[in-house]
Amino acid sequence: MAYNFPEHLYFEKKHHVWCLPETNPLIRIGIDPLGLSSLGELAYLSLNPQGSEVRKGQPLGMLEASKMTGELIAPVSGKIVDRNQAVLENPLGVNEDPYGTGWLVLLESESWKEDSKQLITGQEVEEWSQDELRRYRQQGWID
Amino acid sequence: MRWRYLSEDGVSDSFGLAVDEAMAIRVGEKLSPPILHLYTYRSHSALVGRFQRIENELNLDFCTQQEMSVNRRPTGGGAIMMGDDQLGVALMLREWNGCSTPRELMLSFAAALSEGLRNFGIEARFRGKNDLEVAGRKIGGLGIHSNASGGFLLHCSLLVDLDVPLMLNALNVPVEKLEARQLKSIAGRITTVRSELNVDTSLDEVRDTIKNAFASHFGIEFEESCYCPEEKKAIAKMESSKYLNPEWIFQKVEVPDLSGEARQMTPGGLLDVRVTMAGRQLKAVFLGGDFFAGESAVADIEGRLRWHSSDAKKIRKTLEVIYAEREEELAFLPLDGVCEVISKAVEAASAVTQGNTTAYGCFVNPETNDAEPVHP
Repeated sequence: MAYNFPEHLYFEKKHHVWCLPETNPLIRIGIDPLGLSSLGELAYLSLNPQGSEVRKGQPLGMLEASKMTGELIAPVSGKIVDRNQAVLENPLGVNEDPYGTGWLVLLESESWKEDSKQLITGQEVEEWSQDELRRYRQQGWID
Repeated sequence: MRWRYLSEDGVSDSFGLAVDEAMAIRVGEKLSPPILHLYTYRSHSALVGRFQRIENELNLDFCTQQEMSVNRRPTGGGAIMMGDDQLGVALMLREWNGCSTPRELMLSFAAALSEGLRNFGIEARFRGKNDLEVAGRKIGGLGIHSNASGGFLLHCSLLVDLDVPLMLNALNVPVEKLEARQLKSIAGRITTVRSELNVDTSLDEVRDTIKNAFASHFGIEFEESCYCPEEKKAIAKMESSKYLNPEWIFQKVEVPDLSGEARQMTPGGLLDVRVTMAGRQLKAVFLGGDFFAGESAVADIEGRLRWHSSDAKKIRKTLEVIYAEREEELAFLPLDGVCEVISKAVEAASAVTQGNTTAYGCFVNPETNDAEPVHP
């Protein structure tokens, strides 16, 4: 797996979730490759219903991967306006193209300006991702 | 450092599941130190994995007849039956000794369980996603669940004893269609503490030994504990909103279950492969047919391909490791042939309607065919 971290994305550091601001106020959300390396290949996925509100730090769905089951944590607050039906039916698609066709949900964010302050983007991404890659390799979590 | 220790017996499934999840959240919120919960369920409860189709996995009519409750775990894997001979081992923590990834925590959890069993003279090892095995026979099913608070729940169903026919009837295994030797084959891949020791070891003795092993492995002391009022409230809320809620227990799953089969004559004999899959992930593989191979080597292949990618290259890579380790036992079962037949079974896998696929039990391989391996 390629561990690239595009600088135009916003990353939630703890859960390795990415955000892509699209036409205001829409935010596309997915899991980054290091987050996926901790989970393994996804077997099952559920996402909260379209139209439901999620709060930053609270679950927006659940997954079962080859290493665990767990909650998917929302990096920002908002209303789910679209869910990726393709990965709901084939969760492995998230592992195969995490920044592209493997996106999870599209959120309508009411508080992006505030919520995004706790995410990193731009030049910060390079330093953080290198530190994370070093840490994961030192721990033997990735090759 | 002191961790909390909770011990209970005969709990309802809704209460036991609610305790584990609610307390893992409180541990994640740093409202409690780590907790070890060693308990038994009221006989009997049938519990499916987080994303299993309950109608497909359980014989609900039989469960009703037997007054066996059914529920859904937060952890993944196959269906299990819990009762007074199966020890529930739940560990709730945020991290330990710098380890905070699921895999690291799972390995420590499995190591502590293995140490406990070793104190009885039972050599167990962790394999694959969630198997605790003794010489290729499963003695425990493990799972891990993370929650939004940062807490982890690690769970094991440890078989102190098991009524195999009852379990097979409760799970959707077509017992009446299976021949005696097939039932024997399923039973032969399961073991229990009592069958390993050949004595009627008490569940309390197993519980105490496991507790001591966890204290030793994690380098901590346990403090006997009970639930404070806030915790009782959180557990009651979790139980009523989730584990007593039919919407949780009988929920639908969007990922299709698949199953496929392929048979082929190989230089080592007839190989019959069955696969069950969740989408494109292998849930279980069964190798049957008429070939020469060591029984534990065949079980090893099946074990390592549980919850494995169905990608042919990744399957081959895993099999190459097994073949390197078990060269003699697999000498008459060509690697190329096994890879080819598994690939064909995966290709043949197609979506099955609810209630129509072979159930995938935590302690049951999906064997329903007539063939069986011939072992040297």
